[in-house]
Amino acid sequence: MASTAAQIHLIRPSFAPNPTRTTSKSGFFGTSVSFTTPKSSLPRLRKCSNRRNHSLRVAAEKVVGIDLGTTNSAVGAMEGGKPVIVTNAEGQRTTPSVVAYTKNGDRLVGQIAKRQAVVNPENTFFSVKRFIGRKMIEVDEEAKQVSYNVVRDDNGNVKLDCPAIGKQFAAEEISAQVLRKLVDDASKFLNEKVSKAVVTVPAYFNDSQRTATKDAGRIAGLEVLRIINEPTAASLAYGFERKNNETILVFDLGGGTFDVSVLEVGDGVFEVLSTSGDTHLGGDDFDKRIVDWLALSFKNDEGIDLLKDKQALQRLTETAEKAKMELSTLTQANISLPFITATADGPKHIETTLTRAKFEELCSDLLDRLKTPVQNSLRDAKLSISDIDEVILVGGSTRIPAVQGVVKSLTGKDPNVTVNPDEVVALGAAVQAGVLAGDVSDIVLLDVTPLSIGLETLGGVMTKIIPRNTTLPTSKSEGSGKKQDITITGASTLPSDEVERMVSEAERFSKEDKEKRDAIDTKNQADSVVYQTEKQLKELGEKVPAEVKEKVEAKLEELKKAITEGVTQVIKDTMAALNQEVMQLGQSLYNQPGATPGAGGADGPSEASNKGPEGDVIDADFTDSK
Amino acid sequence: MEVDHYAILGLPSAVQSTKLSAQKITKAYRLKALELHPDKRRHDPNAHNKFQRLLHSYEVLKDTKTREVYDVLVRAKHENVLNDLMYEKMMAESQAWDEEC
Repeated sequence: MASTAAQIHLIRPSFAPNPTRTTSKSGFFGTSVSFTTPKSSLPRLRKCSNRRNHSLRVAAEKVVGIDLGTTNSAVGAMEGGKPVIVTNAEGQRTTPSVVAYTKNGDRLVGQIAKRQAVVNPENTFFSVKRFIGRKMIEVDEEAKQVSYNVVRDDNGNVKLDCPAIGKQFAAEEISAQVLRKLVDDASKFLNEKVSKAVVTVPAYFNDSQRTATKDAGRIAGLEVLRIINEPTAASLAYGFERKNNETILVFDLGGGTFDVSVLEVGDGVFEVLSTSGDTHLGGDDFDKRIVDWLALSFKNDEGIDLLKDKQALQRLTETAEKAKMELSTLTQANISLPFITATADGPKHIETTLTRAKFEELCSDLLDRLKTPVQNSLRDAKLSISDIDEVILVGGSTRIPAVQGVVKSLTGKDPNVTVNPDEVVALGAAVQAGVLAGDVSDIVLLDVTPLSIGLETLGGVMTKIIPRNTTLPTSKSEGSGKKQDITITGASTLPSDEVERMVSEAERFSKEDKEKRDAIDTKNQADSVVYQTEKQLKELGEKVPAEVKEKVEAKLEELKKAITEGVTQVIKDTMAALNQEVMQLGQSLYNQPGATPGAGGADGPSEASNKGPEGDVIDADFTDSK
Repeated sequence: MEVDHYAILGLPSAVQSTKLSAQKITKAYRLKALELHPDKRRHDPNAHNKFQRLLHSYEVLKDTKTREVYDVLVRAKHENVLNDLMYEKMMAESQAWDEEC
């Protein structure tokens, strides 16, 4: 089972495999081919057997860093001593944190799920991070903003209703699906088994949100070595190659949360001085303002409330997000939503223009809410703005010019633009992953969990432990704008037996997934073998001895029959049998006087089986390196 | 006065260190932090405690007010030790004196 993967690794040990090559494997899952390959490509296997020993290697297990975002997620890993972004199976550097179930029960994750959101709004789960580890009463507002149904279970916890498969999911389960995809794609990209990760959360996440995120990892079959704060991760990526002493302020406005952290960086030590934030403020809220504005003017003009129509709402949301992004570079955006709804008079359309000034006016209160956490974090760090050397912007929403304007007016500084706000958190998580894996030795992170009351200590290190039942200082309370009645019981997380159930369920689904993909791959491979064999027989014509030809044709018919019947194992067996006959055919040609060696059919179908639509042998690596 | 916070940061103990600048203290702390951080000592069961001790000492020395108080104690102890030595010298026959504080 000489795997292509292992060979490539041997030849170019320090390079990541070409992402485009990974891309071509999209939709192709894990180990499926490793079982078919040895049977269906015996000739090739034999040819390569002498190379096999060289390509065997001990697979070093990679620890990756994962930025599990509200709207998008990213994965980073240490490669050649530097953190790099791992591209997904679609070749993208970020993956939408979206999971969908189609009417026939298929599960979609990432871009493909996001794309079909408009036609399947009730079964498309996005912004799930807003619900993870939360009680229903904490997320009333958020629940109204999504196109799927958010329900309360018997314990007051949040459940997401999925009518397509008649199931209610915990937010942890949906996040687990996203994590699973991220990790599967990462292990393909890195050609290494990935089962351990550092996952980031907003600094202002409380204990149950952190525990729930960890549980999501467990459900995904992932060992979460550490949960670290997003702004802290960003600072790690920023300061990774700088050795000078600096005090930095990280301003992190993501899809759903807002964090501000002040850190002291120097000599490889990253120390968080203070953290503040708002867990109910993010890019989604800016989108919502545009949606509400569009819906309101439509209601005034047509008397129809589009917010009650899930499909219209989903279209409005997507268009709003697009307009918001456009307004980061343009001063006005055209909004065009044909056939948004229909009345007795016929179809209705939305055709309008949103100027940047109007957008800023719609969001003025959101922009105001950015100020308090910045001021609080400085005060908590006992610093004034003049003590800050750099301001780092993190999160896609910091591309909004008005947000940058707020930062500038608050800090009197031009923000640092050297980091990519979408990628820096995952890169930083990769650095911490490197520290934990022992790949990075000259960096340590000292963080505080601002709302933690001593349950989860980051890296086992917490400078201040607030005893149970102690009233938190009011300064902390202002930041989140809500009462700080944090309970230590973690009641809004799942009970451990339920997590166990979800883990085994996820494993079962992943097995079914693999079987499904194996079935598809096997069928494709078999189709290709049939085609190649028929072609060979035709080309060789009279050269093939009749009795050999008969045998091959018999097996060929058997395989065709097996393909129609569609039982994977039968297809595999028949395909192997056919390959045996084809080998005999090659042998008989070779033994014929005057036959050209190598022109025989032996290579044909077996090569084809290796070069089938998706049937490269690459995934043999998984079994090889274990 | 049991703990020598300077020594925990890897600095020369007592009186000499009271003269060190805040930057020197921070630098010493960071070097120690790199060495003692639990992420670097995954197999040391006491790593956590050792690091907490370092953090505590740094907290005392980082804050100018607490450091001032501590430095006064250090100097006083130092003087006490000197006094004791002189006293011991004088009373060479009696060696059973303990430290006062």
